[in-house]
Amino acid sequence: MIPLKYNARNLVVRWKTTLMTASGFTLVVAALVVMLAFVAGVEQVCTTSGELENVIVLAKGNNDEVFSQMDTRLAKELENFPGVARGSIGQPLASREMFLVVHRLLEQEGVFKFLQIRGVMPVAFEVHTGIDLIEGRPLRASQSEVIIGKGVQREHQLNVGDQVDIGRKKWTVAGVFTAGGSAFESEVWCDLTEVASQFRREGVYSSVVLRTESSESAFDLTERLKASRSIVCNPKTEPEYYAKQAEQMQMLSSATWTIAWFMGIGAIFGVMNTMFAAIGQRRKDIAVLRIMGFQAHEILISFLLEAILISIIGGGLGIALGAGINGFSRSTAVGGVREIEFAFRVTEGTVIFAAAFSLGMGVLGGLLPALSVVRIQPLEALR
Amino acid sequence: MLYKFAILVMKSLGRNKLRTALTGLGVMVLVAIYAVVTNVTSTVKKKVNAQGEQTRLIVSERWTMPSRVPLRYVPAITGQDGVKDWTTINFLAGFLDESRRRDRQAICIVTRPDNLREMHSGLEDIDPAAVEALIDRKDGAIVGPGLMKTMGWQVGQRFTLLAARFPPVDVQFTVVGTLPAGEWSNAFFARHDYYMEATNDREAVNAILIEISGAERAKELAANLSLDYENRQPSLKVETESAGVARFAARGQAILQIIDGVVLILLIDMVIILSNSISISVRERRVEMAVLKVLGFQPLHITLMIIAEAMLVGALAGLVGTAIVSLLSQLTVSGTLPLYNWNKFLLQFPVPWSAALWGLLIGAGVGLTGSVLPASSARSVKVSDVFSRIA
Repeated sequence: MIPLKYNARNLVVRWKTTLMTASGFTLVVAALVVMLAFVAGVEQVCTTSGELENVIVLAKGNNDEVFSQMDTRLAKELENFPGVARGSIGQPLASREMFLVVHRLLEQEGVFKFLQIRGVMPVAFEVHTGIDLIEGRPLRASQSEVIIGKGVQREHQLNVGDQVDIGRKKWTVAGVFTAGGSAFESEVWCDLTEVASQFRREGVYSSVVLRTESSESAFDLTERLKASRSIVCNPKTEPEYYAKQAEQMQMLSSATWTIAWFMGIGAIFGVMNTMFAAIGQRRKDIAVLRIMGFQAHEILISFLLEAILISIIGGGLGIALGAGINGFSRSTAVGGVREIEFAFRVTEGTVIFAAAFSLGMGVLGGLLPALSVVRIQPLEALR
Repeated sequence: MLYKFAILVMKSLGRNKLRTALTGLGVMVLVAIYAVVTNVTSTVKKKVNAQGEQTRLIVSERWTMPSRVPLRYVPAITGQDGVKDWTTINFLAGFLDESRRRDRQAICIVTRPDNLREMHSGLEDIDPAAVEALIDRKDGAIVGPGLMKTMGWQVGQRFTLLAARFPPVDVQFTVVGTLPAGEWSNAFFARHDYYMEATNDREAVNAILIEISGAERAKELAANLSLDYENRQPSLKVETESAGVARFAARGQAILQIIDGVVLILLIDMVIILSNSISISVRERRVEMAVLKVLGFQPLHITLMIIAEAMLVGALAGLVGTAIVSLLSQLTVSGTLPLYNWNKFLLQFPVPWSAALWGLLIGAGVGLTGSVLPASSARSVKVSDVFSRIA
């Protein structure tokens, strides 16, 4: 076998060409990593939202809380449905909730911004056990107080003690919460009765979230509600509901791959060019190698390895560059009108994909030039 | 002189056909995807920045979404001085069959049929016969081409929308025409009077769209209406159509920024591929450059020759790349090409033929940028150095 050192030194000697070809790979791979990190970040939020023991019930025909409406009668029937867990004093662990998307007028800028509001009752904190207050204190009912998710704090620049206009009323931020990176962190939580009265929605709920003893019980409850003739509704386990919100990411994921493939094809042509030029310049070297007794396939592998080496250098730099976005927080729209706070996530899978993609580009780009080496006649090349 | 120069450039490119072809193909592929991606972002940005839409106002509920503007407000608002035309909008989302899968989701825009073309941007090219048919048929629907192809519908087809609203209701429609390809490709338009009848929602509309006689009057009217309806229950907000679109577009800003970044990377990648190829070519042709200098070529001539070579390859590759994308887009829109996952979005964001011209210019620009360094290296070739090495 031809020592790898030969190829490495050749790359160093032609460092300008190597650098330019590798930088083509770097950019393509970095772009791929960023795009995949975006998709993974949004999917992470959607798939980690919701607890396995919870069942979210929407009005029949609705797949989104924003459009769902149900009345008190249905909410009561759901609360008393067999299988709903009970709290410390025997009350059903069922949270009636009102999800609203409101326009928040930014006085200074004179523009409206969306704010997602969830009206809840105290039982909500026993149903959604992942809510952790990190600043301030819990909200007090009927005191025009809200607690805000970490994402809202960042996006709307709000802090404990600040006043926030929701509709015509001023609400005070009592606390800031995290929710394990879930979609709840992009919401403002307030007293259900107060917000319902403000927006004239008394007796109307977007959803009722039912707590069960276990994930199996939640699945069983969902099935029984679906089969029920007396209760007409659309039940889903909470993780299933939020996972559905991430479905539209599939389109984005497909677009990401399409763009990446095209960029990859461009880079393949680039590396082909470089390798053909390298072979053209080293015809005499190749002839000498053949005369020294190296087989054609050994030279082929050697040149292929050279292309792979460029792809490893470029791909590695690309992954490192793209990984810089890991943890960077942004918000984006998912589903109909819902907006979520997410962090770019460079997962192990992304790194493996990107590395394989880069390697694939190197192999495909290097194969054709390497095959052309086989056709070189040593004596003719030395002439 | 110019003719001879062009011949020289062509011959130089023809000397290493493989390299020229590979460089051209690389740039062609990247320009093609660049054209598709920028077409999507520029469509969105154009919509946000459309000056023409400064005279069109959207009136909606001030605080909550989905907005509910009482129908009783409509006469007073549309009767204001300066209102040239108006319509109402209700969005009816739902599923086209019981599977309720995401790919069976559809959105219906319920509105006035008589001024459909005038009041809805993106419908300027709608077939007048389709509008007439909608006026004639109460349960009519003018359906986007994407939806028509996905569902395999023809004009005359009856279908049911399982509306995702409270209380749930199934609404039947008949296809009376097809919308032009573009932003409404996966939606359909229907009549408001039929919607009220079918859903019994006679109290409110989601928004009122009003066309004002001038931008100044539009501003004035927006301010007056906002003030008049600020303390009503429910109160209203009035904004220009472009401001409304901008607010929605801002929610997808992260995606737009990523796409902008990808576009930049595509451009840089093209420059790198071209620059690398031209650099290799210059290195291999140092003797030729020296001979040209001996023959009396000035450094400027050599610089121009290298730049011309790069620009020619870039421009041709750009032209061919975007022309192919435009052709695919037109074939998809015309229905000649069957609809697959990969070309579905071309119905929503069709690439016009004019993109080919942009492709040519972008390719030439990439060629110019990519050839600056190699050209400067070529112009500085020292005749004595080159010949002393040969000797």
